[in-house]
Amino acid sequence: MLRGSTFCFDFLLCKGFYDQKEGRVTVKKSVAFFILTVAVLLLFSCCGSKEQEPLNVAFFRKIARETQEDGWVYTFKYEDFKDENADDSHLIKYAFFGINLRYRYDEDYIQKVVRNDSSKPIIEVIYPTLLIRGGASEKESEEIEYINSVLLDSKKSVEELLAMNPDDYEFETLDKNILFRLMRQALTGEPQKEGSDIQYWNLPSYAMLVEPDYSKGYKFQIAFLNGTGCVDELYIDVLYKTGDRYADYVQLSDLVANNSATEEQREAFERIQAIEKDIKEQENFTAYASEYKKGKIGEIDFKRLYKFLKDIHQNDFLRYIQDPYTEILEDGDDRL
Amino acid sequence: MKQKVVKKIVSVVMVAVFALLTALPASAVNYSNTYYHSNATASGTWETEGTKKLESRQSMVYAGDCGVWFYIPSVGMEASYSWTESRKVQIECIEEDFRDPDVHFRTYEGTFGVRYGLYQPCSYRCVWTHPISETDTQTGLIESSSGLELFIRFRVDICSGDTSRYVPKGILVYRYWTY
Repeated sequence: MLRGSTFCFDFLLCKGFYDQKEGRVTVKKSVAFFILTVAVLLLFSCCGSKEQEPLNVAFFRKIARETQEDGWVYTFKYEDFKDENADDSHLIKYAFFGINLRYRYDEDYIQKVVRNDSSKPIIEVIYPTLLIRGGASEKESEEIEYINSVLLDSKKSVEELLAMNPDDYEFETLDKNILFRLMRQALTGEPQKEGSDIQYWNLPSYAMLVEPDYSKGYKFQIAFLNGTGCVDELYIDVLYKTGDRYADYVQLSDLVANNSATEEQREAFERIQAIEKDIKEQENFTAYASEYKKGKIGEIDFKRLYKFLKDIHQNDFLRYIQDPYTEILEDGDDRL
Repeated sequence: MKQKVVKKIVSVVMVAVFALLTALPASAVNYSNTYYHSNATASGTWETEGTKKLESRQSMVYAGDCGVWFYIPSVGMEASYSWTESRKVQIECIEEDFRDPDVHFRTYEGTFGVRYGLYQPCSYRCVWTHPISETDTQTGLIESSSGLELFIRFRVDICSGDTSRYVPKGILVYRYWTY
């Protein structure tokens, strides 16, 4: 600090704030002091501790996840308050769900919503921008709701759930083994590590995000899961435009899987997978960004990917939320 | 003679069909082409969204003639929120008036819960619409022209166990509708 203040005084002399004739600092004394103050503050901020205050998380979560090749990620979550005396009567302790982090649209997942707040009920067909197990059919919806509201009733104890016999249950649309496997793993495991950055606690627990517009014929898509302020699961893909309709694109991951990707596309996909791995290991969306952010493989510009990831890191992802595609059904529509 | 009768019958049928067609209700609603995404806010506080314009087919628009449709976004609640079924989001729908006071004409309530295993606003329902008087033509009238200026204000409940009060952008995805 002493070196800093001496430097500042010399600076002032050189810049003529000190009037040698007058033998004193002249009218720009206030400016000089301002500069000196800023310099001292900057010096302290560089040396100061960057540690954040510890977060006071009232609950703990035990989470088990399983990822499949087709993008479905199944999760069992158990949550409870750390304070045994806390009122947990309204807490939803257990949940089992499946989200697809690779694909955003599927013709089987169309919803029909009846709008009742007008004098004539209106039926709107919605193509959701996130695939969630339960949305494909009435049967799937019944089964996932049964699991969450009956099997995983919050009033049940952990011991009751662990005592459940998988042989007593059969589902048509869901693999019960995934449910019971993840349930056992979560309930007998340790609480999930808590993220230390409040910024990441404020990120959504799940998200499917996509660049708003195609540029150079493609756009990036990023989906993630975040249970306790960490990046638990992440999938990055590239969507190549093939037409003007909402689902007119092919995905880089599919081109690679079908052996129809070019050498450059394959290389880009491998690079993307390495970036995903680094982000999950470092629990930071901008991990090792300097290694790829200026790079380009074929048409794939990683500067755009870096911008996208940085925006998520800074919790500034609004423009990446895709609008749903919907249609109002008119009288005579077959889908009514 | 036969030809004259046939012509008369055809004319009557055509008139009847035409009359039937004009008597059918007009195609349902107008709605904003744009989907709107809510601002970031803090739970427990009211956040006011920007005013949006929507054209009605009617020259006098009453409270029951317009409203809001909500959509489930492709982002979930933050990891910092406890999964409690007692959380709600209150949404007030208001028509802006530059000369007279703004008219709050609908209140919606979104209920948080688990839908398909995920914690999210599971349902939205209109819990209040400005009553319309049979004798007073001004009661419940929100705009005496076809051009509507609409905005919402909303508040997400604070609940025990929440780690932060931050509510991110886009937690509400919505658009306006009117006749």
